[in-house]
Amino acid sequence: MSESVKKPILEVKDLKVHFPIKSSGGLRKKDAVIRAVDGISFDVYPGETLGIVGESGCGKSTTVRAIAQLTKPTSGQVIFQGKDLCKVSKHELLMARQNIQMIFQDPYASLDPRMTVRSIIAEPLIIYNKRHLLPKELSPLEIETRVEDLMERVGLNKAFKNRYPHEFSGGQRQRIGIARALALNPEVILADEPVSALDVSIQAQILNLLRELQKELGLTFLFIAHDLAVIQYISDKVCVMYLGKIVETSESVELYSNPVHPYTKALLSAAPIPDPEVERKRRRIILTGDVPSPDKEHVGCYFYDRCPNKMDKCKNHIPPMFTVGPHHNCACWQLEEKFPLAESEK
Amino acid sequence: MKFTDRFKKQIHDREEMHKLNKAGRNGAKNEFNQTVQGNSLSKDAWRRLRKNKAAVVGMCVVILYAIISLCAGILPIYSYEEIIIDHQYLPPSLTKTAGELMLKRQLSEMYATSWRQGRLSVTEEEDAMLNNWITLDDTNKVWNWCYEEGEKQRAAGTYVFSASEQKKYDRLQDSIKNDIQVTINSVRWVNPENGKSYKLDNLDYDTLVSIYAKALGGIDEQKVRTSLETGVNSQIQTEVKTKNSESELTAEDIQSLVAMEKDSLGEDGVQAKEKSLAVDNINVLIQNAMTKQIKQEIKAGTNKEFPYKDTETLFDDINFKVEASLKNSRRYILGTDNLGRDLLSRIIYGGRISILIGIVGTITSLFIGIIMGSLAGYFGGRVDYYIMRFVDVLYGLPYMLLVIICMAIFGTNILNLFFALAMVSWLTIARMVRGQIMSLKNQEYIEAARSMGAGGWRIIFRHLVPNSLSVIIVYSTLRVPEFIMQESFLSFLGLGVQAPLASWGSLIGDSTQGMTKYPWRLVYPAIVMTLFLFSMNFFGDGLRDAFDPQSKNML
Repeated sequence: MSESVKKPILEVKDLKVHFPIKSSGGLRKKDAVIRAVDGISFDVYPGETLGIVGESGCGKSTTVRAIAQLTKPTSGQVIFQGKDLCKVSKHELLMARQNIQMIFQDPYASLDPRMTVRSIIAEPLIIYNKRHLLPKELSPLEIETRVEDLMERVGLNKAFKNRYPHEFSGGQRQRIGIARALALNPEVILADEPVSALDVSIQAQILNLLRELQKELGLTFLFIAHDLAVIQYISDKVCVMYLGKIVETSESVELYSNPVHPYTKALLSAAPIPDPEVERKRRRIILTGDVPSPDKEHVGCYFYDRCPNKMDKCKNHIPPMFTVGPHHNCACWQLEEKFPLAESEK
Repeated sequence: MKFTDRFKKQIHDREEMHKLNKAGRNGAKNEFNQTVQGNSLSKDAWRRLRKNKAAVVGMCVVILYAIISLCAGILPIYSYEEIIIDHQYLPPSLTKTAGELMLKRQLSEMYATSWRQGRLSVTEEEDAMLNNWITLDDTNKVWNWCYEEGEKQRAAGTYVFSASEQKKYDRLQDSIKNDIQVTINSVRWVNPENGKSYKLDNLDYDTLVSIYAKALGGIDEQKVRTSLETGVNSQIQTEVKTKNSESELTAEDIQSLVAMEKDSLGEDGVQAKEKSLAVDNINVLIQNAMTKQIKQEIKAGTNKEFPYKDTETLFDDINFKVEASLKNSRRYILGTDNLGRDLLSRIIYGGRISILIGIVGTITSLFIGIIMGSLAGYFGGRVDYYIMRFVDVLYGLPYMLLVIICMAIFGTNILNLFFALAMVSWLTIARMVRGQIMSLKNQEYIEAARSMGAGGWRIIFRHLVPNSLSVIIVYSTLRVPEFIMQESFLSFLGLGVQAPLASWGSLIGDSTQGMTKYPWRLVYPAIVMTLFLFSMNFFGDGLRDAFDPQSKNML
C-alpha cells in the first residue's frame, strides 16, 4: 500500500502529561499527580485528518496542548519533521510552531477583545517577521494584503478588518481564529474542539470551511471533538481516548461500522440518532460507575472499573494495542485470542 | 543609494496601504449591501469620547489649565515672587487699582480710630452695633461701615481731618501718584575689547570684582575683595549660628566652625559664594541707581509714560533691561497675599507646579507599578513572591513618614519631591495590575498568542496591559488629584515646595492664617484646584469608557 510508505508528518510517542497537585493536608505531604495524558502514541500522515474523541476530562485538549508545547509534557516524544519538539531549542521550537498552528475551542475567549480583526490575524505574521523567521521578509503592505486574502479565504468580508471581535457572531469569530491559524501557512493545524461552542448550523459551515481549506492548502488536521457525528464527518482516522489513554484507533468508516472496544461501543451507542423509529428500538449500552479519578496509577486496564466484559486478566495487566485490521488497533484483552500480537510486539 | 531605495519603497508601500485602506473602508459592502467603514482604535476612542459631554468639558478644562500653566511666562501678569510690602492683603477687585484700595484701607483705619476717639459722630445704636461686631471679631465689617460713614460725613463737611491725619492722607496720595516700581532684567556685561556680551554669572572672579569696583564709584579693587570676603564670612557665620541655635557657642567655637565650613566648601566654593554675592550687589546697585534716576526725571518734570520699558547702560559697559511702572496703579484681580504678591499669578504659577507634580508623579508611579505588577503577575512563582513581599514591606511602613524621611535626607526640592512621592505610590498600582494580569493570563487568547510564538514582553504589553487598561486609566486619573493633595499636605508641613515658589497646596496652607479676615486667599486657590480635580475625574471616566471597545456607553 502506498500509505504505508508515506512518512508521518507528526509522530507522538508514549506522551505523558502529569500535573502535580500539592496537597496541603497538614503534616502528611504527599505529592499526588493527575495523569491527564498517560502514555499515548499515534502518527499523523500529511493531508489527512486525525480525529480524537472521548468524553470530557479524558485528556484530549491536554494532548493537543502538549503537542503544541503549551504544556510541557512529562515524558514522551513529539516528533515533527524529524525533531523531538520536547527537546529542541527555543529557536527551533519557533520554527516548528510556524508549521503547527492551533484553532481554539472558545471563539469568544480566544480573540483579544482589544485588538481589531486585522491585528489579530496579522499578529503571527508580525511576530515571525520581527524575529526574521519567515522565508521572506514581509513589508507592512504585504502583511496587509495577506490579512485581506486570509479574510476572504475564510469567508469574512474584508471590510470588517477594522472591527473588534465583540462585533462578530460566534461563527464569524471562529473564522477569524481559523484565519489567524492559517496566517503562517502551517502544515499541521491542531483544532481543539473548534466547533463545540457553536450551534449546529454554524458547525456545519465551519466544518465545510475546514474541509475546503484542507483540500486547497493540503493541510493536516488533528481534530478534537466530543461530538461523534462531527468526527465522523471530518476525519479520516479516529483515536478514541479514555482516561488519558488511547483505547482504539481506526479509520473513520471502519470505527463507526465496526467498533471493537467496549468503551467505543458504549460511546457510539450513547450518540442519539436523528430518527425517532431507530432511536426507539435501539439498545443502548449503559456503563456503570463513574470515570475514576485520574490521580492514581493503573496496573490493569484503564477501563476495568466500568467494563461490562471485564476478565481477571484485565485487573493487573495493561492491554497492548492489538491489530484488528488494517489501520485498526484496539487495546482490549478480549482480542488477544482472535488477533494475537506479533512476536516482535510482545 | 540602497537606503534611498528602501525609503522610496517604504513610501510607495505606505501609499498603497492607504489606497487599500480606503478601498476597505469606503468601497466594501456588507451582507446588507451597506457601505462599511472601519476605524482605528484611537479614532474609535476619540469618537466615543466625543459623545461623553462631561468628559469633553473636563478635557477642555484640563487643556485650558495646561495651556495657562505652560504660557505662564508670557501671560500679562505680575511676577509671582515680587514682594511689595505696601500691598499686603489687598482684597480682590476688578475695577480698583492697588492705590485706591490702599487709600480706602488707610481711610477706614483712620475713621475707625477717630470713632474710638469720639470724633466720628455716631448714634448710640450704631455704637452698640460696632462694639458688637468687635466682640464677634468681625473687623472687616467695622472698617467698611466706618469708611462709608466717614466718607459721608467728610463730604458733608461734618468731619474734618486732624493735622496728622491730613499729613498721612497727603503722603499716601503722593506716593500713590508717584511711587514707581523698577525691575531690572537680563543684566549683561559687554566686553569693551571685543564687544561680546556676557551674563554676570558666567564672568570670572577678577572681571566681576573690577566691575563691582567701578559700580561702587571706582574704589580700590583690593577693598572690594576684602569686603566680599567679609560678606561671605558673615553669611557663613549666620548660617552656622542658625544651624546651632540651640547650643550656646563662644565666639571661638563659631570661628572654628566657620573655618571648618570654609574648608569643606574649598577655595572654589568660597569664591563662587563671593561671586554670587557680588552679582547680587551689582543688581541692587543698578536697581537703586535706576530708581533714583527715574524719580529725578519725574521731579524735573519730564513726562514719562508708565509702564515704561527701556534698555539702559550703566557703569560704562553693563547693559540691562529696565521696566518701571507706577507701583500703585496695579490691579490685583484676585487680591494679594501677606507679602503683597499677586494672588492671580501665584495661583497660575502654583498650578504649574501642582499639575506637574500630579502628572509626573502619576506617570512615574504608573511606569514602576505596571512593570513590577505585570512581572509579578505574569511570571508568578518566585518572582511574584519576592516582588509582592517587597511591596508588602513598603506598605507596612508609614507612607508619609517615608516621604518625610526621603525629603529630609535628600533635601527639599521639587525633584526630590517627585522622587519621594513616586517611590511610595506605585505599590497600589503594582498590586492592582498584578491582580488583573493574573486573572487575564489564563485566558485563551493569551494561550493563542503563546502558540503563535509571542514572547513574554509582547504578551504583557500587547495583550495583558491593554486589557487591564480600563482599570489603570481610571485609577491613574484618580491618582492625579491624590498627588496634588499629598503635595499640598507636604507643603503644609513645610516639606513640599519652598517659597517663593508656590503650589495650590502651599497657597491654601498659607492662607489658613487669617482665614476670616482675608478669605480670598483661601477661596480662590481652593476653587481653582477643585475645578481642576473635578474635570480630571470626569475626563478620566470618559477616557476609560472611550478606550474600552466593548463599552456599552458608545453610540
